[in-house]
Amino acid sequence: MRRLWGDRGGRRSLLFLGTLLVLALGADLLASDLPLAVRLDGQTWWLPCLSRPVALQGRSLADAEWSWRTPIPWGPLQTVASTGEERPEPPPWAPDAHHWLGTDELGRDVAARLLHGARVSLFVAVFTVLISLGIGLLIGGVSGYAGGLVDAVLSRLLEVMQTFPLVFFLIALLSLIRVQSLWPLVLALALTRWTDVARLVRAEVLSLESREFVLAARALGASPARIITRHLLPNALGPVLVVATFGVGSAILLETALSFLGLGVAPPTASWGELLTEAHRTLHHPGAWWLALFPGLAIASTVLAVNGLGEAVRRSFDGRS
Amino acid sequence: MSRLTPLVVLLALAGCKGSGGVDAGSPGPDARWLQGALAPETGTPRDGGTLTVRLPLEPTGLTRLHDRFNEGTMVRLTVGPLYETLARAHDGQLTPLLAETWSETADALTITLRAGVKFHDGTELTSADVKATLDVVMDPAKPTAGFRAALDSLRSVETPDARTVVVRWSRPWFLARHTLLAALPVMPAHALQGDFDTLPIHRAPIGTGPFRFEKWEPGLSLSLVRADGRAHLDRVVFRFLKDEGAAMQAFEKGELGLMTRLTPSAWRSLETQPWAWQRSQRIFFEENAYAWLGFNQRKALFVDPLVRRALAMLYPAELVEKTVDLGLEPRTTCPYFPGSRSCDPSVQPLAYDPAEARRLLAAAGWGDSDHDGVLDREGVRFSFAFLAASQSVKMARLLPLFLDTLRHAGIEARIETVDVSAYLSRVRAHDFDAMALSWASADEVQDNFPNFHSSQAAQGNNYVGYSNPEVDALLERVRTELDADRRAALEREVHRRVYADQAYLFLGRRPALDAALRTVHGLKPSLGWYDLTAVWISN
Repeated sequence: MRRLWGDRGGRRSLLFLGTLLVLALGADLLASDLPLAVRLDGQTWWLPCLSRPVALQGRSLADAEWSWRTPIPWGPLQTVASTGEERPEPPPWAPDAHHWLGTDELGRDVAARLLHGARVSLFVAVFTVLISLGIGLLIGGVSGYAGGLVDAVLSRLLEVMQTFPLVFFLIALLSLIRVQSLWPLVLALALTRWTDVARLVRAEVLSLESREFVLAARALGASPARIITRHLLPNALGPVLVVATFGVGSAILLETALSFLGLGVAPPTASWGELLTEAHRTLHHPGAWWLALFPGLAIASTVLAVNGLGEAVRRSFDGRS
Repeated sequence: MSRLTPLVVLLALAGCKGSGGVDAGSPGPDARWLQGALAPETGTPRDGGTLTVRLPLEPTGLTRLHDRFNEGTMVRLTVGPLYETLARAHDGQLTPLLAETWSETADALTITLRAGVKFHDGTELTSADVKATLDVVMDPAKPTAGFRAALDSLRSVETPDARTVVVRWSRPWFLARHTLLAALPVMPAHALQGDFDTLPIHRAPIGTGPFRFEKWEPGLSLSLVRADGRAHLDRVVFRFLKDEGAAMQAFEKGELGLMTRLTPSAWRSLETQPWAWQRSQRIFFEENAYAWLGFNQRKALFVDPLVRRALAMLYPAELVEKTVDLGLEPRTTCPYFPGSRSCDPSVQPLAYDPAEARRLLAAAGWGDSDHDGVLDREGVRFSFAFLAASQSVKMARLLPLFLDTLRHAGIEARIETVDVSAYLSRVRAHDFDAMALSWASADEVQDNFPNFHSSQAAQGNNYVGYSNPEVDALLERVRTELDADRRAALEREVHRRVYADQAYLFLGRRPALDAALRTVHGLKPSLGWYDLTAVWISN
């Protein structure tokens, strides 16, 4: 980690991604239609933006004795139906003092949706990578260590998975899944992402299993499971981390593409892909540049930062070796 | 990953597209253009040319007899020029078409067919073809329930000679005669033999219409060619273009002559395009169509009419009219042709009133007992999913607005998007909480029995499972009432009760929003779409 922080590119990427993570996790405290605290009808409500009490929903805060709004006083799902904003022209509205990044066709605040969308997109990306990492480590480790028939079967499975056209496979898989939550999407993405990790782990294990420390463990009577988990996988982890880091960027783009195709996160939940879909639907609005530009920038800069971090991780491992 | 990056960049750049706005120097569109009224025809029709028509969806089959296809507007538009009916309905009058004459007694209709009419495969039209078409419709084992429901008073069909058909009725019913003469497409008997589901005629129609089927390239287009001298056009090509943006670009380039079923936003966007005023005409005409949201009344959440009224009061109708429909789809409360005598003009739509909606929900026993921000009753949360077709641009805009107001009333609703075929399958299987649909008819005359009678909840069009014994009785009386005035009075009562019960959450009337290049002439819109025999193309 110290080596990574010492790398200028790595430090910048870590700072960017760290900030993004904080913003995403704190999205409810940063952008909400309900305040951080309010005193209304003689009662004080703390963090209603998190608890969302029915009694406060739809209530105007004009009657409040005092209220403490979130920095962006709009929720990600809040349309003109509940904001009550009236302007001569119907939305989309260009960026201004009220809506820093403008609104979409339904009057939803782009900044609020970007923040909340970051949480969804990062959740999908990170958990996709973690699950695919788990599958890849397990299959790659077992395949490399066991060899013989097990290796042959698992290697063919890996090759079969790799020959499937990725997006086609995901479209087919997601069309079959009825439950519209984030987890099926994460699992579907993870099912397509583990092969790179597995192939790499298998190669690392094959090169490590003849090393002295593995032979020593085997001579001491360690079980195959112990040898794989305690000796082989930890030593294969360096290159795997590099692939996994790149995988985060790839998963963000895949989630974006799937949401764009209507197979990702169910609308109106904000995700970066969903924001781009909205932008595409409103392309006939001349000059509504903010609808595609800000989500596009967010996706591009996050993927660049993740790739920068991946490069830094690789440099740090290269330096250590 | 690198292959996907350009997508993001391209989309970001697409958002920065130039304004394409109005050229200040050029005159704007005139009032007629803005209203969507066609300019009076000048010039002499000339034969030849191809009319390319954009359809937003591909028809699932090319027959109106089969239940799987007969509801689709796209099916109606594409097979319309291929088939003919015995008579043509226009302004409440029937004029002969395939029938030369007909005569009636109390329980029988005798039809004499026109001599010398041939199907597109060269076989001559005879009374056996009319009987074969009716036999298919009336066979309860066949998936033709749509037409069968409208003809269920038909007792027998006799064909004393090749040009005479005698139809006998078991009881009087206003719609049966009209359906037989003006709605039923006559098909050749020889093409109706075999397994009905897989008949080739469902994909390669053989009719007697002014155009004959040429080819269907799935996913791309459907071509019809002139069958005889009745039409001016050599060919009509229907191109299936789901993406409205791509269709608009093709229209601008002149690759499409007629744009059908535009969304309000695309129709309005033409106002800012100078090329559009100069080279095209917008067409606005009233159709017998309306859109509605349906709540599955088989589910405990939606059984109570009070709850359905509350949901209607949470629907931000004015906002939807302004932001989604752009003033082009006025709100309706009536399941009959708007403005007809069947609608009671005194029925006013429920106003958007969240406070009253909350009171109704509380009266129905809904409250937030566990303080989780969502209403609940007896341990059940007020949470449901809206089933939506992923291709529906209107629902993509309307539902987030409605969900926003529902959320503020403590109702948790989410959107479940599926593709069109899965959507229709699930609607027919009643596998939904809430959904949206439009009813469209090519005729002013209509029967709401299939839509609202409780007997139609299992297999008919009563997808929402609406049930009210009083409405059932009214719908039965409407069917047997032959006096038009008394029938209209009964239908007005149906209208009042269906709206009071909120059988549907009625949305808006659906006018046709089309656009055509100025080189396309002879377009005369009617409820049954355009008469393509009158259409011609100038240089």
